[in-house]
Amino acid sequence: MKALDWQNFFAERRASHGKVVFSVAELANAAQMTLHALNTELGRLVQRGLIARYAHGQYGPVQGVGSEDLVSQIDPGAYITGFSALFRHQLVMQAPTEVTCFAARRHNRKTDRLTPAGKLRFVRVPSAIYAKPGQRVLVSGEQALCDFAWLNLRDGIELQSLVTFRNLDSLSRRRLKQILRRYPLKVQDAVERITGVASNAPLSA
Amino acid sequence: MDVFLYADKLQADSPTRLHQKLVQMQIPAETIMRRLKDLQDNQQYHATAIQKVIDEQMETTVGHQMNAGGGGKTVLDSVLSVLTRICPP
Repeated sequence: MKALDWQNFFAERRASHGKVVFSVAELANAAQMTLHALNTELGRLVQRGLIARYAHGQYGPVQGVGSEDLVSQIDPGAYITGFSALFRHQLVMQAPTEVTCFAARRHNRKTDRLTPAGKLRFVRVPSAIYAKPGQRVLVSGEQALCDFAWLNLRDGIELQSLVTFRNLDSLSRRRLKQILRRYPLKVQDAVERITGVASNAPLSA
Repeated sequence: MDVFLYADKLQADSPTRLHQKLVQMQIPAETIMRRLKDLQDNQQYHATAIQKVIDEQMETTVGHQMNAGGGGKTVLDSVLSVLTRICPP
């Protein structure tokens, strides 16, 4: 396939399926080429800056690929949470330089991945904390706050030492109370101090 | 972190201006002293927190430079030195 054909292929798949990152096997199938021939062609296209390599065996267009697209491709069970999700929900003043992802499995001892779409940090979390939000990759603001608290209190750091919160009154108190119940007591206490929501209060309150 | 990054902007009259600003903001001297004491008494904690900010909030190049210069501990030492200079008891 010519470079223009690849660009058309990416544009068409984005428009029809919303898919932007592809495995080598998917690309070989689309181009009707052998894996070996495709790998050679991909090497050339990446070198010319026409296609980007986002992870091992994962390729896509140079522009328009976000961390959400990539996280689900690298690990379908991972989701974006913590500081990154708080920032996207406009709940903190500071901007993160890495994307925090919670996963249910280890990432081959390599937790930090530098990609053209940014630095991804995969954290394997206990099953009690792990909660993928359905088909979505970005968690709600309430879950992001609880995960952020869990992650930093685990390292012994109070949340207010790291960020300045804002718009916390936009969080659903009911959802926050429900989510908080599966976190350790110190996380519940920290989130309650910040939001004024008590996790042991009745849901109707 | 801001104190560290912008310490070179401080002027000779900064202690006086800071004092006026704190009075305007109605922040009592006891609060300032308590926070300064906390910074001095819990240096390990604050150095770790600053290190986390460097790792998660600073651009990669800047973060690398700060880490090469000593990371969170060095930033804290520098900030404590600046604060004790401009916030005299």
